[in-house]
Amino acid sequence: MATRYEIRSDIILALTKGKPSDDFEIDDRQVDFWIDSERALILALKIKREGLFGLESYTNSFDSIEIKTESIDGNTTGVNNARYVVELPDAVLKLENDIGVYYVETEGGTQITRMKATDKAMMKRLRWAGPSETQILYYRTGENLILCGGNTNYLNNGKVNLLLVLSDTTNSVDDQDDYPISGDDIPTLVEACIRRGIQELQLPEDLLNDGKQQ
Amino acid sequence: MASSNNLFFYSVDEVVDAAYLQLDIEDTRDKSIFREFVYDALREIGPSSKDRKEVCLPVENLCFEKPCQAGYLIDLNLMDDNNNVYYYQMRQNGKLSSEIRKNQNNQTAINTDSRGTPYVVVHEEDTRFTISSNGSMITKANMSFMSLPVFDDGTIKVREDQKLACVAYIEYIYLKRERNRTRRMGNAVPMSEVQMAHDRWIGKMQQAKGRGKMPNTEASRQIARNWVTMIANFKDRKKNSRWGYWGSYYGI
Repeated sequence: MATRYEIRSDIILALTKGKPSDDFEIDDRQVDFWIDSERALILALKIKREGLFGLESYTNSFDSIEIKTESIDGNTTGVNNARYVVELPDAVLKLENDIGVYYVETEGGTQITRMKATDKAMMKRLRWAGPSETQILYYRTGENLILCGGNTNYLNNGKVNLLLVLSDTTNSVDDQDDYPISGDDIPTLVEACIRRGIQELQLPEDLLNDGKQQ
Repeated sequence: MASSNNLFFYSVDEVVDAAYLQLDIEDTRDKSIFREFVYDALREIGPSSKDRKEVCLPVENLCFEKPCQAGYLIDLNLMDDNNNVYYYQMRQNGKLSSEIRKNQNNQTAINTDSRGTPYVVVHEEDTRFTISSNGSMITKANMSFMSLPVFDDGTIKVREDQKLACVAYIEYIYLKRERNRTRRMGNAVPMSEVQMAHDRWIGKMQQAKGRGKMPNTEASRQIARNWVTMIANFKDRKKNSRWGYWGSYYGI
């Protein structure tokens, strides 16, 4: 819909009153921070108001992320002590019910479903819902997803695809990439960033809407 | 994961996916939990006449193990090597071995009913059946039982007439969970929606139960034949052939 470059340019254009210059006091990275943080706020409010409808527009996809094998301390003979971990490739936005990790699948396209970290003991006891050879589940600890179930051949050699809502998009979204936000929220985002810019630069503002700058 | 090549059965995953698509749920991460609820729904609907299975089990040391799929016992035939069928009665709860009547002549524990007909006592335990010591000549048991149908890999089959009921149950549980989850945030799912989903589930469950009890074409013909004669066809029941072995024992 709009690239990061376009959104940033629009904000700078407004703050410089239509006269962008190399000497502008605010660095691009600062504007990027405003964009990301205002987007987070817009998204949180949107989820509260409308639920998860249209959340895909805010996600970034990461394909073929390797599964790492970690050995668990206190090895017991005859027991598979390996732990299968997927490191999240970027910082995930903290949202209600951990929806920041939006979708996880195997490279072949089979969904890997979730169990909450607090529920994992209960889930493992369930006969049909718990992890099994044919059903892989994950739980999240910090910036890692721990995989349970599945066959060891896949876990040792397989990869996963992720759909994530990022908190800081600067590493994963280039200037020329589409910025992960739904089209109808772009004006709100730009407006919110301009307001922050005005505060930051202490520019005069027509607070009373009477044609005079306060 | 098991997928059905039989058009009349669905796998659990197919039912859960259908429910999610019907309900248009965006967050699919907790989908696996609903696999458990499909099983719960099937147990609530209960087995139907189509879920009957029959196996012939060896009897060793006066007992035979139940198959792992066995739900409820429907019928049992106890036989010896020559396929003679023995009259039996299920042991009554609370009846002690010392209360079993003794044969007057040799004082062995031969059980007799009120007409003096001897029978073998069968006692059901959680994983097996045991039979009384006067049934030592019994070598095999032909057992019919109710069982949930399963695929080769052990996952449950969902019959097509149970699918909508399972979907309705998933919807009900989903809304109940959402209500619990969102109540704290002040935008809870209204109780009326949960109640409506519950009513839908009850309706669909009863529909599925009813369909499960419908006789097939051949069974319908049989019913019609019996209805015209008005006489029960009891001679076909092997259980009534109690004089088979004991008749020769008593010289009848």
